[in-house]
Amino acid sequence: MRVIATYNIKGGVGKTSAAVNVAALAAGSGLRTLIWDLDPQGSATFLFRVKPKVRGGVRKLIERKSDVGELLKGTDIEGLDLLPADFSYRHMDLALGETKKPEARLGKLLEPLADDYDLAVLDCPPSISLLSESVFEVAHALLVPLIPTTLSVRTFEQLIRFVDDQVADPPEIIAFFSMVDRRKRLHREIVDGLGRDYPQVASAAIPSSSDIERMGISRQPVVTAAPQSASARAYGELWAEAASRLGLT
Amino acid sequence: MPPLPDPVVYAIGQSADPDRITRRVAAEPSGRARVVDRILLDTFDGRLRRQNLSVWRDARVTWGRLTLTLEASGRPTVSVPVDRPTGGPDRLLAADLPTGPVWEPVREAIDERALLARVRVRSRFTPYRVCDDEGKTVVRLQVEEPAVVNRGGSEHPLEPRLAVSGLLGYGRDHERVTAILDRRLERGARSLPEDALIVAGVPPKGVSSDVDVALKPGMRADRATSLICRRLADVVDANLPGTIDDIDPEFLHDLRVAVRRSRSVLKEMRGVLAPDESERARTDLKWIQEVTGPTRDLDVLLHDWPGMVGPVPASMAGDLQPLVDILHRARAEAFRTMRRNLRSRRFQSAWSSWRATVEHRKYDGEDSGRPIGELAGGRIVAVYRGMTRQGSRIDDASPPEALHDLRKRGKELRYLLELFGGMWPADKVKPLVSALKGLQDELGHFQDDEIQVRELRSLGPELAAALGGTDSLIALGFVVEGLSARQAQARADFERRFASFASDETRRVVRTTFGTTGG
Repeated sequence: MRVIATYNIKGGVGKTSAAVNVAALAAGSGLRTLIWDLDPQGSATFLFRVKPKVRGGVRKLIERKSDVGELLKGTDIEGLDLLPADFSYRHMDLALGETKKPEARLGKLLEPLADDYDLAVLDCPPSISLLSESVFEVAHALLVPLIPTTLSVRTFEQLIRFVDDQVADPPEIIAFFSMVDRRKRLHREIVDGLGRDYPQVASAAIPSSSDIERMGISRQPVVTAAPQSASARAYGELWAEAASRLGLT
Repeated sequence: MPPLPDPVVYAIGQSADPDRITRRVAAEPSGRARVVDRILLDTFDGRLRRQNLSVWRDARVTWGRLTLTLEASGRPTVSVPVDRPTGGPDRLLAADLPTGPVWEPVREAIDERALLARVRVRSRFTPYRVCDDEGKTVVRLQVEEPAVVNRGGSEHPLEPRLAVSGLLGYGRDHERVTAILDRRLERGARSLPEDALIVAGVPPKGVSSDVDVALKPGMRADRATSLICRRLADVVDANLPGTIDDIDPEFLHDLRVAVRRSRSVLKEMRGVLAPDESERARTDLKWIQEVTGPTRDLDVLLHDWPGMVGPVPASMAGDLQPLVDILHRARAEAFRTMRRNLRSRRFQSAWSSWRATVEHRKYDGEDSGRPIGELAGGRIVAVYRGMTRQGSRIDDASPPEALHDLRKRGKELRYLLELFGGMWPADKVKPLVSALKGLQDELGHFQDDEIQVRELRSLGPELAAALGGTDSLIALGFVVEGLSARQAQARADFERRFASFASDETRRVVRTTFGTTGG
């Protein structure tokens, strides 16, 4: 099983949108796919219309007192299952801190599912914490959405340094621009410039689009709700690039 | 993870109203009905069906692209466009299939075999779903109204079916829905591919080249020999068109095995056929074996090629391309010659003569009335003893021919066991087969590597004259060296393998099992 995590220290940059759309596209390509909502806000859980309820809460899950398989929910997309989040996930870091090797814990929890799925997509909350360190350990790739602003570029550079310095076997970083408005000169300059300077930046860029915003109403990924839209096509390009880098095509 | 069960499938009858059935479980339509016209693909020997994998291609081919759909238990159904291969839309090889892990089981299952069109089915699919109060799907239902499309375009309707699929975490909803449906509908309709294949007259599990003829030890030798020879002739007939059309290398392989087995029966059961019949048949079958040999040797070489280039340094791997091109040309040339021979009058005459012998039971040799158990058992013991004598004389100084001869005898023993071994208890036959297999594999490596070294050396002059041939010759040196090392290893391992084959225990099993009248 390959593991990919959508990650950024900042919130509201398009992590969940990328996670649900990439997961839907992976399942559509025939891969047995799992999406794990790690965010106590439960946005991915909400988008798949699954009730935000984790039997026993996050502590039991982290302590491995819950059977992770029993918590899975099939989504409306064939081949895509969800490990939902609920509000107890706000205590994830505390629960991880009480384990012996917190950075290895997510990997241990995913182990029993390794033969059942080809790909796991982890939708991370915005932070840099014990949970993110555990994510860096288990993930083969980090899918990092970047809003084309100077500050988010600085954050991206910090992330590259952190992962390189702190993680023994660092995941591949696949950054991509999100919420791009090509009518704005600054967006164009940053997208073109960073793409040239950093090989980690994917050529696919997700546009700022009402289709993506409407996912909250339709409660399904844009790639299934509006598969012909520009946003869906952009996610398609992003997935193709990520799948190729992960050896899934 | 709790395994997600396969869908429960109900037969719903031609006159049933799907809307009425689905309303009973409060299911709502979850999309528009669609008609799909598609062709089920499988290998000649039904490898996908046997592994419960279904590969379909859309009946329509547009802009040189085909759409392939894979249905496999426990996986989402997936449809992908692929380029139309040069061999035509209805012959796909593993290399024509999509890459990546999803299609890996298909590529592995078919190996060298081609996927061929087996049956065309036009289905109308109507999807339904049962939702919870969040509007989330908790059970999926799909009505399929299929029909086999005949060559002329007419349709033969198949039993409509309703598939009910559960979702992880919503098991109770699935149970509730199936409990309601169980009250009115019959579960367990045959799988659609199987149903369609039967209607189209295609054996669902493919055409087998196995010779599973049930023999009894007390059966007359002429009757038993006739049954086996007829089955072997059927295998040749079944594989001949695919060999001539060069569909995939396994047709030729299976044809040659059947011919070799027939020759072996003629030799080992020589007292069953009338001597003149036997002699002519042996000459004819030997000729067929000879004219098909060069193509098969090159097929094996090309198949083994990726493994053979292992010792070549990565920087020189590209230098071998001129050699690969020559091998493909040589194979094409060998194939053309073989095809000419297989279409020749000589082949027609040889084959119809052998068919006549087989069909009309000209089995009036001196052993024709003996019980087959006694006759075959005697031959197994005799060939085994001959091999142990032959093998024990082989030492480090023996020429390669000594090992080749032993391998030939080993093949005869193997065929005797494969064709007649069913008359004895499997627990007695299996250990001998496995000891023999171990020995034969070693001898096979030894001989195959020698043939391949000879074959490659023979290409030297042509290679030297080719563009880039000098670099290719240098790279070829590594290939030949690797093969020679492997051959030397096979020779070194011979003693150990032979010791197991000729052990006191194996000798005792052979004597006590086959030295009787069998059964």
